[in-house]
Amino acid sequence: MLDTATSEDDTNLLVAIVDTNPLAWQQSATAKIPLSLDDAIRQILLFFNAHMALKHDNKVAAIASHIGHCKFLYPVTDAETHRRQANPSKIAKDANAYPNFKDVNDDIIESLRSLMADTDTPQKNLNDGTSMISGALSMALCYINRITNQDDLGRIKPRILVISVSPDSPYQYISIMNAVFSAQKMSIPIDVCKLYGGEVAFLQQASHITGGVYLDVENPQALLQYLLFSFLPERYARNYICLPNKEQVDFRAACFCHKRIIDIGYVCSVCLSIFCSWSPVCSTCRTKFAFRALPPLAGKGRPAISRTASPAPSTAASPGSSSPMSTA
Amino acid sequence: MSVINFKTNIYDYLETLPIFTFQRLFQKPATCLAIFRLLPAIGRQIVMSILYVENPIPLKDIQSWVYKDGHKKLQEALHKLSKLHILEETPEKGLIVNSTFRLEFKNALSGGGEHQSFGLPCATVDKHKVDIAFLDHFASTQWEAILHYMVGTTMTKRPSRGVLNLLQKSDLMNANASESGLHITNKGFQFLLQDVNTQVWAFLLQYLDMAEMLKMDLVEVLNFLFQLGSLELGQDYSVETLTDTQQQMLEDLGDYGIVYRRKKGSRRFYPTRLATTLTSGTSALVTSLSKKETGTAASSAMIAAAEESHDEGGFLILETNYRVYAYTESPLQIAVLNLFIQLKSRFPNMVSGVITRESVRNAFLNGITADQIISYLQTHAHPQMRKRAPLLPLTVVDQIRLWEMERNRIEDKAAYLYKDFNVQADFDAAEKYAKDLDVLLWSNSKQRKMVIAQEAHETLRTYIKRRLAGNRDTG
Amino acid sequence: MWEPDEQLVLRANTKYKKKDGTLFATSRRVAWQQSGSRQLHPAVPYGDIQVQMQSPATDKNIKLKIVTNPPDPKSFVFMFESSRALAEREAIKAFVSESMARARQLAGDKTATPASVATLTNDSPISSVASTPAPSTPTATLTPSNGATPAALSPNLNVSRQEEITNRRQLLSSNKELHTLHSELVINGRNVTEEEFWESPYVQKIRQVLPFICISAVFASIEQTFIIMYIPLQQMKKDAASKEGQQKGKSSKMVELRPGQQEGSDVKYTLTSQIIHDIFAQYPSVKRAYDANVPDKLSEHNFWRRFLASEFFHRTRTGNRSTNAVADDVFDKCLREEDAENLNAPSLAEYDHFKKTIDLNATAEDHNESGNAPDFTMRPGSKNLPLIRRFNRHAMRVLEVPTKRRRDAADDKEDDVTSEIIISDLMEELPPSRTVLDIQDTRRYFESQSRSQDQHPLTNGNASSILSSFSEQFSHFDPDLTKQLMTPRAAINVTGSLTEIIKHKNMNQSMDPGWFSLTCDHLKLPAQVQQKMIDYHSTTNEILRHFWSSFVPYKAEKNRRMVDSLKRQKDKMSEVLITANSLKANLDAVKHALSPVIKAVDTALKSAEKRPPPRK
Repeated sequence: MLDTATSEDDTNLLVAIVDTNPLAWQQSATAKIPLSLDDAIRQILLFFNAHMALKHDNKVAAIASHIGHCKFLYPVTDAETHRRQANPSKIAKDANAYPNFKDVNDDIIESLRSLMADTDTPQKNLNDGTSMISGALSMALCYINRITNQDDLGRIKPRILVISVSPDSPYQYISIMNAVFSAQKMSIPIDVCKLYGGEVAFLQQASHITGGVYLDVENPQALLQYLLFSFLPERYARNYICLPNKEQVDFRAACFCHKRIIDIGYVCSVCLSIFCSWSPVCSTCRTKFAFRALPPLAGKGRPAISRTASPAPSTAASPGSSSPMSTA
Repeated sequence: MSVINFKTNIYDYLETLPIFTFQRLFQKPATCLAIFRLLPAIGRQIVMSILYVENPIPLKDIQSWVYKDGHKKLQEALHKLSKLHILEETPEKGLIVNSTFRLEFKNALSGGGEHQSFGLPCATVDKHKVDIAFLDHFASTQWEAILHYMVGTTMTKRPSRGVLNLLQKSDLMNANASESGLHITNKGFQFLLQDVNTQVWAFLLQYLDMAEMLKMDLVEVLNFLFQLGSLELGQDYSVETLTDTQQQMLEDLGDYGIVYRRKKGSRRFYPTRLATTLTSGTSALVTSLSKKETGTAASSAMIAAAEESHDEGGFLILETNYRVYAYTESPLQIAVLNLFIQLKSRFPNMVSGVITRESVRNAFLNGITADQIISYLQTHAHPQMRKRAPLLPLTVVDQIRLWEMERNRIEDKAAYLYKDFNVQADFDAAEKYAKDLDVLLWSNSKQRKMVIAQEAHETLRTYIKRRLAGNRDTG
Repeated sequence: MWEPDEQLVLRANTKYKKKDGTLFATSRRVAWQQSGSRQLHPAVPYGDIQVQMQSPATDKNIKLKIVTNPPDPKSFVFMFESSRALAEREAIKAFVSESMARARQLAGDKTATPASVATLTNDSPISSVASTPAPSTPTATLTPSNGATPAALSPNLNVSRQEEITNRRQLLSSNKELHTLHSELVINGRNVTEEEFWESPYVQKIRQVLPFICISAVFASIEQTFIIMYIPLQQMKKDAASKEGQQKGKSSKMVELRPGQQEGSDVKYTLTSQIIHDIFAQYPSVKRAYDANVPDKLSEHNFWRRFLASEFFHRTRTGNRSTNAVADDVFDKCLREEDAENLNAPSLAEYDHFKKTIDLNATAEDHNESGNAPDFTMRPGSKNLPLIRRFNRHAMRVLEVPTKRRRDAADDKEDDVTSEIIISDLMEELPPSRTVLDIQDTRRYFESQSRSQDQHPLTNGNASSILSSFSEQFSHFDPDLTKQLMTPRAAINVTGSLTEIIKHKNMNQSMDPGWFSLTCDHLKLPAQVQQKMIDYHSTTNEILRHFWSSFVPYKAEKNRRMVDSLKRQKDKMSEVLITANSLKANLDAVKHALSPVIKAVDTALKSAEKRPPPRK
C-alpha cells in the first residue's frame, strides 16, 4: 500500500516538465509582457536551487517537452556524465557556488543546448505546433516509479510541476488523461504553471484530479516569485500552507473519434470513452448499444451531455445502452 | 529523530548569540544556507516567499497564507525566525528579511558573490590522493577512539590532550582522584547512547565555548563549521581561503576525525563523512558498508543517500521476550550495549543478551534515562525491524519505562511532626493555619498529629506558641 | 342496455326488493337486472357509491347494501341467493370497492375517505370491510394539465392505467420531495406535462428507491456542495408501482375466536371470511368436514353453529373430554382425527441426502455438537405432547415454503464434504476475475484518425526558421544567475495578487463545507430558508434536465417551454433572496450556495440562443 503520510523528514523529489516549444516561446517573447526562453530558464534554475536549498536531500529532475519529442534534461545518463566530465572546457569548480546547485545547473544548461541544437524535426510535428506533454508526463511517471521502487523506506515523496506555454493538443487527450489517472493512483500531485498560451482544459483537470496547484501567471516577468510562492512548498508543508489555486476548472474533454474538444457528447457506459456523435457500437470496447431510433436532426452532430462545471455523478444508465446522460 | 535532536542543540546555541554576531555570520552564504536548513518547514517557506520582496509584508498577510490548523506552527516558526534575526519587524507591524541575510542567501542560491565560502577545491592534483574508503576508515577510527576511551576499553590509544581537555570541560568525564586517567560521568553515559550527529555537535558546541575562551573568533569558527557541511566528500580543498583561526581549527578537527590532513602543515585537507553530514542529518559514520557518493547527478547516488540517511548501520534486533541480538563486532558498540543489556553470549559476528530488570536498573544508576535507552534501540534497529510497526515491541518499551518509574515511587521531603495537642480546638486552628499557608503535608484529627514542611516550621511554631499563650491567658 | 366500452366483470344471482334477478358488476357501474326484464335498474356508477355494507357473517342471509352519495342518498340491498352466495358477495364487494376507489381518484375527490363501512341498521354487529388502502391524507389533484384523458403510459410499466394512477397518487402523498417537484412543475408552473414528469429518469429513480430507506441526495452542480433531502422512512405499504416492494406474508397468529357480546345465554361469535379461511388453514379436518357436508347435508349456517358448539372447538388443552360433552357426529369425527394426528408422531421427513461426515463413533456425550442432543421435549407419554405437536404443525404450515427445484443430489453430497474439509483461508488466493478492457483497434484509440492538415495557429511564421534561430541562440547559452532576474516591484505586486487569491479562496472555503459534509448545515441558515433553497434547487435542476433532454434531439416546442421556464426560474431566485433577507440569513452564503445552479441556467440559456434556428 502506498504510504501517503508526509512528515517533515521526507526526501522531496521534484520532477519539473519544462515546455520548450520554440514556436510558443517565440510568441511569448513578443507578447504584451514578454518573457523569452532564456530569461525563463534562468528563473527556473534558481527555483531548482531554492528547492534543493530547503533540505540537503531534496532532489530535482527536469524533463524538456519539445515539439514532437521530449528528453531528460537532468539527471543525465552515466555515459553522458562521463562524456561531459572528460570535456576539458568544463568550468572549474568555483568556491562561490554550492557544488550541488552548480552541478545541476550546469547539466541542465548543457542538455538544453544539445536539445536546441538538434533542429531536425519532422514537418508533421511542426504543423501540429504543440509540445509533447503526454510524453513528458509519462517519462516523469516512469522515473518516479523507478525511484520509488528502489526506495524501501518510503521516504521519497515525489511531485510533478509542469511549466507550460503551449495550448492544448486534443490529439494527446487520451494519453494525457491516462497519465493523469496514473498519477492520481500513485498520489503524485501535478502542479501547473501556465505562462502563456491561453486556457488549457487538460492541465487544469490534471491538477484538479491529483490535488495540485494550477496557476495562470499574469506577469511573466516575475515568474520567479510565482514559482517561489506557490510551487515551492513540498507535500508536507501543503498541509499547513494555503496555496493560490484556480477555483473553476474547465472540464471539457476531447472526443475519441475526431480528437476535437467538445462540450456535449456521448459516453459509452461500459468503458467511458467519449464520442461526439452517436454510433451503434463503441469503438474501444465493442459494446453494442440498444438501438434507439433517434429522429433526424437539423444541425450537425448529436450532442447530448451538458458541460459540467464541477465533478458530479450522472444518473446511471443501464449497462450496454448509450442513453443520453444529463448531469446535474 | 536524530535530525531533530541535533538541530535543536544547534538552534539553542545560536539563540544565545547576540545580534551583531549574526550580522557577521550572515555575511557568508554557506552559513546562511546552513542556518536556513535548521528552520522548520513553514519558516523556510516564508523566508523563500518574501526573499525577493524588498518591502515589509504585513503580519496579517502572512497569517492568511497558512490554514487555521497551522497557525500554531506559524507562530513557532515566526518566533524562531525572529530569534535568529532572520526576520525583522518594522514599526508598522510588517516583517522583512534581514538585508544581509537576504543578499547573501540570494548569493547562495545563484552562486554569486566573492565570499568563497563554499570551499575552494584544490586546483592541483594531490600526489598522495586518498579515496573515500580511506576517509571513512580514518573518521571512524578517530571518532571511535574517543568513545572507546570514554567507555574504558583498554585496547585503544589515548586521544590527544585537546580531546581530553574537551571531555573534561564538557563534563563527560571527570578526573578521579585515585586514578590517573579520567572516569566517565553520568552525562557521559547518556552521551554514549546518542547518535553520531548529536555527539559530534555536542563536541563542537563545547569546542565553541572553549574557543571563546581561547580568544578564537567565534564567527569564523562557526563559518568554518557550516562550510564544512557544504563540502563534497572525497574532494580535497585548499587552505587558501581559510583564515588563521580556521586553519588552527583544522588540527583540532583532525583529532576528532572530521577532516583529514596528511601531515600537519599540508596545504590541502579532505573532509570526511562526519564533516559533510554536519548540517544534513544523514548518517555520519558508515561502519561496515561502504557506499560511493559520486556527487549529485545519478539517481543511484540519491538512493544511496536516502538509504544511508535512515539506515544508520542498524544492527539491533529486539524481540518481544526481551532478547537482543546485535549483529556487530565493534567493541565500542558492544561496550555501549553492555551498559544496559545483560550480554549472554558472543559470536564472531553477533552478540546476544537479555534486557533484565537488573541490567536496566544499572543503567539508571549510571544516570541514563529510559528514553535514551529506547531512542538508542530505535536508531540502531536493524533494517528488518523497520518493517514492522511499531518499530520496537511495545511490551519491552513499556516495561523499561515501568522499571524507571519504579525508582520514583518514593519522594521525600524534609518535615516536622507535630503531636500531643491537648485541646482539639488548638489542633484544628493550627491545621487550618497550616493549610492556608499551604505547608500542610499530612494530618490526622483523631490522633491530633500533623506533618508540616520544614521551611514553615518556625512560622507554625510561633503561631502555636502564641495561641497557647493566649489560651492560658483566657482559660 | 349496456354502454359501449363496458365490460362485464362479475355477475351473481341476487334478490332485490324480493325479486329475483342478476347483479352485474362491470367496469363502469353496478347494475341489477330483474330476471326476465331487460332493464338495468338500479344501476349505480362507481363514482356515485358512497359506501357499501354487508350483512354479518352470522346472518343467514347474505346481503350487500350499496349507498349512494349525498345529496340524495339511496340505498339498495341485494340478497345473494345462490349456493355460492358468500363467495359471490365477497367478490362483488371487493371489486366494487376497488372500482369505487379508482373512480374516486379519477373524479378528483378532495376528501377521499376510506371506503369503510358503517353499521347496518340491523342490530347485529358488522365486521368492517377493508377496502383497498386509500390514503387518508388529502392528496393533490392529479388532473392532467392538458385536460385530455391521460396519455398512454410508458411501456415500462406493465400495469393498468388505473393502477398506475393509484400508484402515482400514493407516491405523491408519501414522498414530499416528489410532491414538491410535481406541484412546482406541473401544477403551478405548468411547465412540464404530466407524462413528461413521470418519464423523467430522476423521478423514476425515486420511484424505484421509495419502498426502502429513502434518502435521496440531490447533487448540486457546484464543486463541493451537496444538499441532502431527508424523506421519512416509508411504511411498508403495498406499493404496486414498485415491483420490488415487499409483500406481507402469512400471519403466524393462531386462530383465536373469542365470543362477542354476551346477551343473556346467547353467545355471539363473529365469523368473517378471513377467519373462516384461517380456520380452514389451521384445521384441515374442519375443511374436510365442510367440503363433505356443506351445502348438501348441512347449511353453512348450521355447520358453523354446530362447530361453535362442538366439543372440538371447546376442547381443553389436554385433550381430555370435558364432562358435559355434546356429541356431534361431524365434529366428533374431526376431533378424533385431530387426536389421532396429535398422538402419533409426525412422519419422518424424507431426507434426500444424509450428512456423510457424521462421526459414528461419537458417544452419547458428543451428541450436543453434532446436533444429536437427546430430546427431552418429545418424550412419549408426556401430557403436553399433543399440544406441542399441534403447535409444531401450525408452525410448519406457516413456514410452508414451496419446495425448490431439486438440486442435483450429487452436488449436495459434494458440498457437504468439501465444506467440512477445506478451509478457504488456507487456499491460495485466486487473482480477482476482472473483465479485460478489450480495445480492438488500439491504433484508433491512441492516434487520431483525421489529422487536420491546416497549420496550427502557432506556426504562423516559418516553423523551421524559428527552430534554427533558437538553436543558434542556445549554442551560446550560458545564463548568469547572479544578475538580477526580477525587479522587486514586480515581486511585491505578484505577492500582493497571490495573497488576494488566497484570501478569496479561504473565504469561499469557509462557506463551502468541503467534500465530506453532505448537508448545508454549515451555512447556518434558518430551516425555512434552507427548505426554500432546496426546493428551488431541485425544481431548477429538473427543468434543466428536461431542457437538455429536449435540446438534443431537438424538440422545438418542449424546448421553448423550457427556455421560458428557465427564465422564470431566474426571476424566482429573487424570491428566495427576499425570504432569506426577511429571516436575516446570510445572503452571501445563500448566493454562493446557489451560484452553480444559476450558472448552469445561464449556460443553458446561452446554448439555446446559440442554437441555429430550425429550418422552416
